[in-house]
Amino acid sequence: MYTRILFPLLLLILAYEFWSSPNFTDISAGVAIFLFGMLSLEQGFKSFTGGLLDKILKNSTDKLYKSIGFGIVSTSIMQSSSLVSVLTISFLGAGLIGLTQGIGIIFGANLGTTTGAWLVAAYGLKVDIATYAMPMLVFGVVFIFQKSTSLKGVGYILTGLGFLFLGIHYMKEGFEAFKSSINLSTYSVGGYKGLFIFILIGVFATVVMQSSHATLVLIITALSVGQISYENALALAIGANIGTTITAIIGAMSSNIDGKRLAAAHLIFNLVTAFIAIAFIYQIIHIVDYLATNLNIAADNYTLKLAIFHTIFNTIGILVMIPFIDKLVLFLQKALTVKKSPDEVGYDNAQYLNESVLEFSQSAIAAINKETIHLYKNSFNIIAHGLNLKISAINSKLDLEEVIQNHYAKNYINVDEYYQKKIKNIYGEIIAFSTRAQAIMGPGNIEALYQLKLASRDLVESVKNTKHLQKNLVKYDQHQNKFIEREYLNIRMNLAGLLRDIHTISQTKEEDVILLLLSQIRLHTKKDDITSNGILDDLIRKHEITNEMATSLMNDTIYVYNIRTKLCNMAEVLFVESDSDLGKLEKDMQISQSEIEDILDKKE
Amino acid sequence: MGVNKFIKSVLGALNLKEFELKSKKKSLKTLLSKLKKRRVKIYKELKKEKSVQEIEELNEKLELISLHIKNGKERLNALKKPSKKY
Repeated sequence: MYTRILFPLLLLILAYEFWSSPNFTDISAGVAIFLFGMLSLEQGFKSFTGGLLDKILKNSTDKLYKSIGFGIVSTSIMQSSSLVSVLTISFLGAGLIGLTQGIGIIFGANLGTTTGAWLVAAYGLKVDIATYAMPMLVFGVVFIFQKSTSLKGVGYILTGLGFLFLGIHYMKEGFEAFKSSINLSTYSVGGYKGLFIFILIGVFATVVMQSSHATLVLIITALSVGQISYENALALAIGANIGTTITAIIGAMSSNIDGKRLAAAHLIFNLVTAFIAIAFIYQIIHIVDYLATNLNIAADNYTLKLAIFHTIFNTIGILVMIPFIDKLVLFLQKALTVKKSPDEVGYDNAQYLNESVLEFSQSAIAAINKETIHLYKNSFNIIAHGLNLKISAINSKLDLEEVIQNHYAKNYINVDEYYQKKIKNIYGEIIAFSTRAQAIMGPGNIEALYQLKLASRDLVESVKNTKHLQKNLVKYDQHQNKFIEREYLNIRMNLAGLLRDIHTISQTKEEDVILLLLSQIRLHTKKDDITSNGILDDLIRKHEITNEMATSLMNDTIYVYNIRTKLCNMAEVLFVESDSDLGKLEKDMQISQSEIEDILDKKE
Repeated sequence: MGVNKFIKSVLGALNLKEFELKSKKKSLKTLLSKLKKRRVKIYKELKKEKSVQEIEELNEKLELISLHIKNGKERLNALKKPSKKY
């Protein structure tokens, strides 16, 4: 309906107004330039999200008060609650922060955005900011044409600020000229009727412009020249607060379920805040007057009073909602759930890969990392069950001989069926998503992405090798030839040991343990290889197994070797943190093949 | 001045390459101290009464740790002499 009827209608109204009123053209141009400035500013800040902002976000949102503080500070600096909302949804989508932290940031962003009203009311209208706009635009454009991403980012920020200042200037000029021909304040409506009408106008204006900041600047400039009454400006500000949730709602459409829950939390918070502001509007106005008197603000300085009002009702909203955050999270988790179609039941799909994380390279990498860990968990289960081993027994302190006696099921599971259901879709999604994510990444992240793709491939191939190995494990399980039966029991026992080591590596933070286990896996890969340790030759020479059995054993040794090396390589990528001591030393600490052979020679 | 040359001169002026080297040395020292502590723990374990298989496993761990410590020390010495590449 919007594209068919409303959008052309909006264009027609705008065209008519431009033709009939040059002042309206000035105001509209001011809004358009201001919005363009915000886009440019967002683009500039996005250039820096690969490093600093992401790290701050990761480290400063572990507690609720910290996440609220982060929301306030980041929005005050970037002057865009929309960017902070999209960034939060992106990090939530990537699983880097939880829903509670996300809600905290959004609450803080609501308060942080009020600093915009203060800046415009205190400086924007008193100083001729257009004089600063021109040099900023010139320097900004010069920087944008540079090759360096950081310089480009600075360029976009400068250009953004320049356009913001220029936009405010045009809006101010337009309203001042407008005043001489028409006085909009004659249309002001008093009482609760006026309150509701102007709240709706505020909501509509913000939904159209998708920026409460732009609406608020428009309100303040109109208020400064007396085109709207103070009471109506307050109502417009309340409306803008409700309308701003549209950005998070649009952003969440392409996000996962947590992103949608966050957008719902944003809407609920802003509706509750608006309800409080409406219900206690006259009491809040009294508080504003009291504070204004104490802050030496003139009684008729309505622009600054509006800024105080905006800050007060958002602060009240946060104070009222903080005690209910846990309940709000529980409610949203129950109310918004993922529904699977009957065809999808039993099939596992990617949990962290969604459009919202593609906004920022760091969240894209984090999401792929989390998804690969998801793939690892599924692969681990399939490999363990494919070998008919119980995961609880693998992860226990039981002796490995006891572990292999603890069968997962009476019959071996169908590895291929589980591969189709639990691996194939996720792997396909990781590869497709990585290809798209690569377009937004720098060289450092591309290398990390490549390693993650290799880790995913290693996991998939380990599962496939387990499938091939399983045929003979079933065939020679409780076989009348005790020699071949023993060899296949050994294979199961060695792989149970490998899975136990991999599980320990995935759980521990002790780097010396990780290094030792990785080296042990490499050593045992060589040590337990029956084609090179002489066991197979012995069995053939003594005629303890048939030729067919010997061929099976030789082929299966290759599958075992593949599973061991691939899981070891995967663990190195997935569980050694790149910024840890071990991660920094990379391959420097790995033991070489010749060192492994030396150790084995000594034993012989 | 080209961009690459400019970046190189800034890295040089701020001693950032040296910083990277120092960070690697620090990581190596931390890891070596953790490995040494682990080796002491294994020695203590070996003194307790153990089955033949357990002793064999502990000895294998000991051998790997000693190898890592030896290699780590060699790499640390190489890092102290920047002209030598390892």
